[in-house]
Amino acid sequence: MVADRGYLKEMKNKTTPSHGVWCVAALGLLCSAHISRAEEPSFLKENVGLRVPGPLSQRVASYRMQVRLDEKTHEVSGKSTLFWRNNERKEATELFFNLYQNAFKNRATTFVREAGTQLRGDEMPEHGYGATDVSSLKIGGVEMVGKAVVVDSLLSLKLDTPIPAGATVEIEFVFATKLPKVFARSGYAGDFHAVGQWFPKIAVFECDKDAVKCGFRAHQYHGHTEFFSEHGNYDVTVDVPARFVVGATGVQVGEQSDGTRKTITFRADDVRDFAWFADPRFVETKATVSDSIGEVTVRLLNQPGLASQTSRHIESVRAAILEGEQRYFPYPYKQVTVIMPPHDAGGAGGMEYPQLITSWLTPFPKGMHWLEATDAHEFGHQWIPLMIGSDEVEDAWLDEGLTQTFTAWAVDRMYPSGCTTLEWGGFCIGDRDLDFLATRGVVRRMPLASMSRKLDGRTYSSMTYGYTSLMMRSLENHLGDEKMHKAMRTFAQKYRFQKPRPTDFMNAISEGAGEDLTWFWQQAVYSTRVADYEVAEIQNQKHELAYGLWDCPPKPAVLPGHTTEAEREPWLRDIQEANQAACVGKPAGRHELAQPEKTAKKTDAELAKEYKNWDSVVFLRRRGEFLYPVDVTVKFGDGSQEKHTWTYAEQVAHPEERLKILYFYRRAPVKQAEIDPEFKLALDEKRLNNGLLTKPNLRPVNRLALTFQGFFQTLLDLLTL
Amino acid sequence: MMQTTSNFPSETGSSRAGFFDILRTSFGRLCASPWLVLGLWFLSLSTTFFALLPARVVLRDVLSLRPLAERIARGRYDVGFVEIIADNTSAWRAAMTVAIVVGVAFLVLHAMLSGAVLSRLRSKDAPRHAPTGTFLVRAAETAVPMVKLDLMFALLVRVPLVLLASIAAGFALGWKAVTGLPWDSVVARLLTVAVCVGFAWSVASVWLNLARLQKLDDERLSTWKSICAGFYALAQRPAWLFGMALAICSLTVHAAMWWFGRGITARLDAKMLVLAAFLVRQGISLLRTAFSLWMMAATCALHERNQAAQPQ
Repeated sequence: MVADRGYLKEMKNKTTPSHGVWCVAALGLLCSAHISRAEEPSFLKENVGLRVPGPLSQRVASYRMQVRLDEKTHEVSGKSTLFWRNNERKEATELFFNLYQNAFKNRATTFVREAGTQLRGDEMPEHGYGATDVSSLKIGGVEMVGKAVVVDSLLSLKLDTPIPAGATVEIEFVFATKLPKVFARSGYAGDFHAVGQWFPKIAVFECDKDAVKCGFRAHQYHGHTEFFSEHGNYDVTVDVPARFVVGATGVQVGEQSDGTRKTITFRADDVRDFAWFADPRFVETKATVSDSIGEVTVRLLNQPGLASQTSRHIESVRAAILEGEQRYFPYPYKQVTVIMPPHDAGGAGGMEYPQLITSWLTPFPKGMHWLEATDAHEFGHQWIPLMIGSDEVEDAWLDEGLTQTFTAWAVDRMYPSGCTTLEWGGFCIGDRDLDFLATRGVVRRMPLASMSRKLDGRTYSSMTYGYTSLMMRSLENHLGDEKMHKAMRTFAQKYRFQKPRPTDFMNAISEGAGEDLTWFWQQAVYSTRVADYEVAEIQNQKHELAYGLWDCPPKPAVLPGHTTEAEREPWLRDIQEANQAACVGKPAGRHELAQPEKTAKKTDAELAKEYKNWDSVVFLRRRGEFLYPVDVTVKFGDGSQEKHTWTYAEQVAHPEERLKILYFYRRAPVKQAEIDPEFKLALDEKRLNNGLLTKPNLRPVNRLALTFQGFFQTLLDLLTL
Repeated sequence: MMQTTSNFPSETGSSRAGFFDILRTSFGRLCASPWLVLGLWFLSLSTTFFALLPARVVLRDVLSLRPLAERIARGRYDVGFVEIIADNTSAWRAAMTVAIVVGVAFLVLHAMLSGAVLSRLRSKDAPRHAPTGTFLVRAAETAVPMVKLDLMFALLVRVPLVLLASIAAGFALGWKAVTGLPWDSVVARLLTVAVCVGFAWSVASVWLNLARLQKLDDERLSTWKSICAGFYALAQRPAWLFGMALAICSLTVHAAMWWFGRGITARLDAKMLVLAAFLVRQGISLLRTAFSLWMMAATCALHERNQAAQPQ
């Protein structure tokens, strides 16, 4: 079992009230009685938009909202009623809510200071700030907004009356969110509105295993992390101009219009967030994808003039749905919406929300698979973290890394050739190749288990996405396909609609694979060990032991007692073989076996026949600190080959010994040696040094050099036209 | 040896007949100077070979003992290129610097030889024709003025053409982010711009050669006046028609050679037929050189035609 590292906000234990505040306590008792008796509304008991029987989650935080979009001021305002159940074993004495849009209020926010006024290459626009303002906060009908404290993107409220364990409270907000100009996931660009992370959202309240420490996992909106919340049902009515087309989480259940404006009602059950997008230019296309339990409606809201990309989106989502069914469990919702932001709202692209994804605008041909990879990746998030509810803030690698791993599986399904990222212009690049490039040589490396918000932008990106994907690939290659499938399904089934931590994931994988993988997790997740194996050197020596004086017939060799068994065997074998060879056809007595005359240069084959044997030594070196069982393939001059394994047990027994030496005594010299020839250890940072030849092969060098020369020659010829 | 004296139709003859006549005449002159074609092609081959020698040394050091090199060379592990470059950055920078320096030197050398090349491709009756054996002497005589002419032409015509091409591409895309357009639309718009720019580049080459010829005919002309005279010569009807036709020929044939050559050599490279790919590339380079010289010879013929048409 790997040690856990949770980060819970500590709650101060309340002391017993003194005598003088009994009347307050009595009042509090009335309030608490009121809180605990808040009835669950009917929409919590319904199951809308599901393809499987519900409820799927515990529906801890459910929202009913009525909001209005002012397309001129880009403000979304209205009312939100949160039905929150204290699902833990201890009372909650305070509440925390995320007001994510406050991250764009000014340039002093945590987000802007950490991300540096940009996200994924999109710059924060001038005069495009945003914020969420709460003008009313009622709990059980009692106005509490005066007691609420807002710091950056967190609203905290100390309760006079704790919310008992198991109690449900009704919390009403009147709020207004001024959307920023879009650059970091949500905002507006002209008439396009990406309304994400837009309402006061309650943080996650939980206790440790023994219910000793309880608190809210509430974080500011950091530059390099995302979000975390509870599952619940959403009943959202949006009021927008009539010309706007709206795409949202869930399914549409109602619409009314007076010609100028319209109100649309959406329902989404067992989800942990709600986002919606509105743009009058959206062009809608619908398709269905069939899997083992029925059909999923894919609703694509595209930009005008991009109809040629519709089929690419649909196929990507199809591959992701089918892959997710295999790896995790069937997608349980009836619909998914795919949003294409306009070119001036690229910051809203490449994002996931429950039952809704946003894609990238890509002008690239079919051979460049960034569109497909993006759609597969964002759809992969439907499982992790949107259904298997990992904490995107504290455990980003469980979110992005596992989804990056899923992306590789999904695009492998679409492109069996292996050219999953690029297959165009004669080039072939796989997505794992990109992960390899992104990860190798990351200087500011931190353990994967580091809290994500501590990482700088580049390290966060390389480690949570690329490194995790390569780590999982290395694990998959070690376990094999079948075990990996089983391991992932074990994890998915166990933690669907739960909130797993890294230890939960690692233990579930070990359980599903049927083996203890602590050795792997300790290195890959909790350390910064670098993986690099190489074939350092190959030596071939003509075997000349047979020449000299020999006594025939051969007598058994008597060895000194201090020699170990391991040292005896090859030496004894050599001596006895040489003696026997020298005595062939010779009578008893001492004979000299002379070396043949030195003649003109001969080929290896001729020499091999003449000298009969070669002593060869292959030096394998582990340059990095990461230990992993690796295969070794040694090829000989006569076309034969031998396979060996440098096992984990060998390496861990003496980790300070970085060399493994292989000895060969054969009729042909070693021609080539490769360690991990199939790159099973995807984390290996250098792949060129995994193999070594004994004689230079200039054909690839000539081919590349002459290609470059031809290209350069063409360029110069054309410039002199 | 083919007759190299040109007989141009009269001014009242058809332009088309005149154009084909120019092509025929110039082809004859080209065939009369096979060593010129071979020499320039060999210059191109040897220059690029030496320019990339440091790069070849780096490749040899990095790849010759690595089994993965075979996969990289066959195009089955393209990411390997990044590993090669990233792990040997200094060596690559040095190699590329050498290549660029040698490339620039080649372009200057080509400019220096252009006077001698044009002189060789002129009619034997032309006063500045360079007979066999005087090529290098002629090159030495005309090197400086030709280099000055090429530099000024590059500044005044080529560089602005490149800038105009960028602006044209921007207009073609509507000055909006290219991400807002589908691939087919981007290709269609940029290809249109590329064809127009290619055509303009080819016309500029005809203009440059006419300017060179003006300078060769009258050494007293300044560089600037030579360029103007070349433009004036091109602007005369039917010279501008012929000039544009030459440009279209040049653009079409070079594009076709590049397209087919690329297709054939890619297949040979993938099968590691290194020698075959090299021979195909050099064959195409030879054809390209020959065709370029043919166009230069045609420009010479055009120039002579212009002169013949002028009143004495």
